[in-house]
Amino acid sequence: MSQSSHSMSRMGGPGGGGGRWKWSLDFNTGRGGRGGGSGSASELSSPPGYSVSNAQQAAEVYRTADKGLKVKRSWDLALGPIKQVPMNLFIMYMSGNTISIFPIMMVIMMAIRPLKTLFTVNATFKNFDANDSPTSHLGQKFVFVLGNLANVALAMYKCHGMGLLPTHASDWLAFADPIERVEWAYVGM
Amino acid sequence: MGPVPVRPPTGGRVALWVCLGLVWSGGWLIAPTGALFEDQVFKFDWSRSLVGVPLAGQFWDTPRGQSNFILRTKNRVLASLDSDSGKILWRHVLDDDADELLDLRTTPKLVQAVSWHRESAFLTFRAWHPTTAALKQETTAPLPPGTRVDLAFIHEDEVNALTLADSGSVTVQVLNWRHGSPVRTVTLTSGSGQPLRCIRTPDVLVCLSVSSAMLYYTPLPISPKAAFTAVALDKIGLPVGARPLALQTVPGSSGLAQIAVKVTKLRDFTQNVHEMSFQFSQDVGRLVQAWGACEEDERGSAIFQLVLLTSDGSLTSLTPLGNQMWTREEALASIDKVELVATGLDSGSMEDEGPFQNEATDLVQQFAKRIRHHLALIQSTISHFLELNDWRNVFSGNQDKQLDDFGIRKVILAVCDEGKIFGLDNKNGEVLWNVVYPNVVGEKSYLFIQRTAMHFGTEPMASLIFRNRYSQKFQLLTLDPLSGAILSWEDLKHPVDQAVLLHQHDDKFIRPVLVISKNQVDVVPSSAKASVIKYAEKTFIATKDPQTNDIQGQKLLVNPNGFLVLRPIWSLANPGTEVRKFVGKSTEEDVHSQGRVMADRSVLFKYVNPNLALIISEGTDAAGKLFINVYLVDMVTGRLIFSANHKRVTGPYHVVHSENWAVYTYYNEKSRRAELTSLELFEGNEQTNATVFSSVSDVISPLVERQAFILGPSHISALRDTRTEKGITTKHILMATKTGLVYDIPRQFLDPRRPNMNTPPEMREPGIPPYIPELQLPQEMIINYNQTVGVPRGIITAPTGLESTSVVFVYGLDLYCTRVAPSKGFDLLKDDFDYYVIASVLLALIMASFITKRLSQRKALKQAWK
Repeated sequence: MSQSSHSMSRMGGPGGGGGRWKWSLDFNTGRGGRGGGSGSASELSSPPGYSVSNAQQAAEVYRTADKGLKVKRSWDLALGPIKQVPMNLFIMYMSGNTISIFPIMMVIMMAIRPLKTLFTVNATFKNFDANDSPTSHLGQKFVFVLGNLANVALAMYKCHGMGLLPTHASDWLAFADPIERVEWAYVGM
Repeated sequence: MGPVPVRPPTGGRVALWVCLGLVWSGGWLIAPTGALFEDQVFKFDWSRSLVGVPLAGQFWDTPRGQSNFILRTKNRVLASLDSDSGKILWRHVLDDDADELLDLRTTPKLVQAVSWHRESAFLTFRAWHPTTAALKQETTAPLPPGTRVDLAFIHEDEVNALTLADSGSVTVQVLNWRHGSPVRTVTLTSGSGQPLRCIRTPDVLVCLSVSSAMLYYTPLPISPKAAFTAVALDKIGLPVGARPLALQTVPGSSGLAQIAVKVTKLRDFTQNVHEMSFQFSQDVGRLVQAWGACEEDERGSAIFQLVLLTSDGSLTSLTPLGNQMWTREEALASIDKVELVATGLDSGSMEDEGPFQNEATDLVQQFAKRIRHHLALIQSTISHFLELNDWRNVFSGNQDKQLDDFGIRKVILAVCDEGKIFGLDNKNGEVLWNVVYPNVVGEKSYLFIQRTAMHFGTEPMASLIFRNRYSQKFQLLTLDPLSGAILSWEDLKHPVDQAVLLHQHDDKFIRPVLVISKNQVDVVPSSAKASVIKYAEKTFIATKDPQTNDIQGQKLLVNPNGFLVLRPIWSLANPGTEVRKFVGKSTEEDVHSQGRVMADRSVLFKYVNPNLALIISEGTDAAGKLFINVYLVDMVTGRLIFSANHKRVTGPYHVVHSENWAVYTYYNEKSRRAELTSLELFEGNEQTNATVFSSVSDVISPLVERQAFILGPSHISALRDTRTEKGITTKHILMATKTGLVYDIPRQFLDPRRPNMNTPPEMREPGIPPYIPELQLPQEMIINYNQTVGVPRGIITAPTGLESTSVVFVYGLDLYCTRVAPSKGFDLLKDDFDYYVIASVLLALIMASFITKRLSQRKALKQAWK
C-alpha cells in the first residue's frame, strides 16, 4: 500500500521534489511552465527522432488513460482485503486452536488491522483525488468495507474456535445474582 | 420414593487401586495446604493442652525433690502436672469412651489406676512410671456380667470395687491387683434405706447418707466379716442443718485442717492445725475439692501447697501465705457450645443494613453513621501509631495491638459444660474474660449471636439459654461477647423445648430468637416481635418430636389474639428407627455460583434448595444389625427429595450440609472401616427460576449424584466445611480424627461426579480426579501438623474479611486454632513479600526517570543551538 501511494505521488506531479532527490526523473520537462526551476534543460535540442508534437499527443493519451488507471488502482485497493481472506484462512489453519501467545497475537492482529482501516476508509480513498467528495468511489469503498468486515469475521471465527468468545451460558455464570429465597425454614433439634 | 441403597465402595483389588492412586496422585494430590517450615509453627495458630476437670489428685515427689501433682479427670485423663508451674508433664487419655477412671494411687515407684469399662463390665488395672509415664502393668479383671461399679479403690495389694445399692447397702468385690483374680465379696449394710455416698480415707471407708445425716465407716482392708459403724453427723461437730455437700479427705503428713475458702468449710476429723484465708479475684463458683501437700521445714513450721478445684472447673494452687501459684482453666476441656465472633475492628466491616434500614434511619442519619464509623477508625489508627513511639517495636513485630485489617481477629465465645463462659482471643488463645453461670450439667443449652459487631454504634450481643442448676428454671443470659459484660440475665416464662435463631433482624439489628415451649412461642427480645410477625408467613420450623421420634414441619402463624403459634403442616414418621442427625443448611451461607461448568462449557445448574435438611435415622434390622436411613427433606413442604439406606453401619455419624451438597460419615461394621458418602444435587442444564427459589412452587426433581469413599482413619470425631465471606473460594472439608489429626480435604476429592478410572481424559471434567474408593489423605493435608489435638470433639469455622481465608477452631480435650486458605491466599501477598526491595526499586526508577528527563532536555537544548 505504501508502494502504491508512492507511485501515486509521482503521478500526481513531483512538485518541489527536485531539491530533495539527488537523482530524479522529471517527466514534465517538455510541458513548459510547470518545471520552472529546470528551465535550462528545456533549451536543449531534442534528441534525434523526437518531435514535440508526439509528446503532446502522448500527453493527451496519458490524460485519458489517467482516469482509467485511477479507477483500476482504486479497485485494486478496494479488493485488497478480500484477497487477504484466503491467506488469513491459511494462517488460521496453520496456527491451530491452542491458546498460546503466538496464535493470540495473530488473532489480535487479524482483528485489529481491518478494524483500524474501517475507521480510515475515506482517508484511504482520498489519495485518488483530493478534490473528490466523500461520496465518490462509493462502489470501491463498499467493497473495501465488505472485505475488511470479512477479515474481522474471520478473526471472530478464530476466536470462537479458540474458545475466547463468551458465547456459552457458563461464561456468564459468575455474573448471575444469587437466588432469593421465599421461605425460611429452620431446624430445631 | 423407597430407600435407594448407596453402593459401598468395593474394597477388592486394593493393590491395583493403590498403584493407580500413586500414578495419578502425582498429578492431583498437590498438597492443598502445603508444608510448613519450622519457623512458621505457631505463627498463625496456637494450641492449648488441657487435662479436664479433676476428680482426684495426689502429690508425688520425684527422687530429685520436685513435686508433681498427679490427677485423674472427668475426661478420662490421667496426667501429671508440675506443681510449681501447673504445666503438664505427661498425660494419658483412655482410648475407649466407655472406659471410666475410678481410682488413682501413687506409690514411690508407680502411678496405679483402676478403670472400669461400662459396656463390657471389666476392671482394668494399669500402672505407669511416675516420671516417664511408661506403662508398667495392664491387667484386666472381668466382673460378672451386669455388674455396676460405682467406686473402686486400691488398698495395699487389693482393688476394692464397690457397688452402691439404693437401699443403702454396699457390695464390695475385692480383687488382686497383680492378677485381677477375685479374692472375696463382702456386702455392707447401713440399714438407712437411703442411697449412700462413699469415699475412702487412707485407712477407713466412709459412707455418708445425706438425707439421714449419718456417717458410716468401716476400717480397711475390708475383711470378710466387716460391718459399718454408724455415727450421727451432729455428734462430730457438724450441725445437722448444714447439709454437707462434699465429703473429702485432705491427706497430709502433719494433718491439715479447716481451709476457709469463701464458700464452703472443709473439716478434718482427726486433727486441726492451720488456718488461712484466700479471696479469689473473680467468681469461681464454690469450692469442690482441695488437695494439699504438707511437710515441715527445718524450724518445724508447716509448709504446704494447696490445689483447689472450684465448681467452674478451674484449678488454683495456693501457698501458705495465700499467694496464688498458678491457675488452670480446665472447664475449657469440656466446651459445649462455641461461636466465633468478629471483633469489627477492621476497616471494611460495616454490614449491609438490610431491609429495615429505611424504617430505622433515614439516609442522612445513615450517612452520618458511616462518617462516624470512619472517624472512629481514623482515631483508632492514629492512637495505634502514637503507641508506636518506640520504633523498636515496629521491627520486632510487636505493633499489632488492636487493629485488625482483614477481619481475621475473632473472639472465641466458648460455653463450657462446667458452667463457665469464656471469651478467648483467636490470635493466641488468651482468656479475655470469663463468666460463671449455674447450668444444669448435661442439659441442652442454646447459644446464639443475636447481633454482630458489624453495626457501628451498637455493641454485639450473644445470648445463652440454659437451665439454672439451683432454681431449675430456664434462663436467658445476654452478654457482649467482646467484653464479657452481662447485658441482661432473666428467667424465661416457660420451659424451653426448642430455641431457633431467625435470620432477619429488627430495627436495632438484633436477630430475634424464637423460644418454643409446649404450646407457646416467645420472641427474645420481645421488642423484636414485630419483625417476627412480619416474616411469620414465610417462617417454618422443623423439629424432632422427642416422644414419637417423628420429624414435624411447622408453620409460624399469628393467631387472632396476636400470639405466635406453630401449626403442624407435615410430619415424617421413622418407625423403628431413631433420628441421630438432623442437619439443615446455615442461614448465613452465601452460594456464589449457581452452577458447575462442564467440560463442554455448558452449565450444570445446582439444585440449591436452602430449606433442605439431611436426616440420618438409625434402626436395627431383623438380623439384629444396625442400619441407617438417610433422607433429604424439604423442611417447608415435607417433600422427600432423596433417600438412601446403608446396612450394617454404626455411628458416630457426622454430617456437613451446604450449598447443593452433603457429606456424611459413618462406620461400616462389615468392612470395619469408616466411610464417607457424598451427595450432590443438580437441576440439570436448564434453570427453572434464576431469581427466586420457593419450596412451595418447587417442581424440580433434582439429579442426585452420589459416591462413597473409604476413609483411612477409622474414627472420625468431627466434620466441618470451611466458610468464607462470599462463598467464592472453594470449600474444603475439615475432618478431625479421634487420634487428634485434623485433615483439610478439598471438596473436589469428595465430588460425587468423579469419573470412572477408564474414562478417557477428554471426557473427564477439569479439576475432578477419577474415582478411587480409597480417599488419599497425605500427611500434608493435616493442618495441625504435629500439634495433635487431644480427643477432638468439634470444629467450628468462620469467615474473615479476606475471601480466601477461614478461621478454624478445633476443640475437645485440647484447643487448637488456626486459619486455612482453601484456594490458597489468592488475595494476599506472599509471606516473604519484600516490601523494602520493591519500594526502593520503585523509588530508584522514579528518580532515574526524573534525572534522565532533565538530561535529555539539556541535550535537546544543546542540539538546538548547534
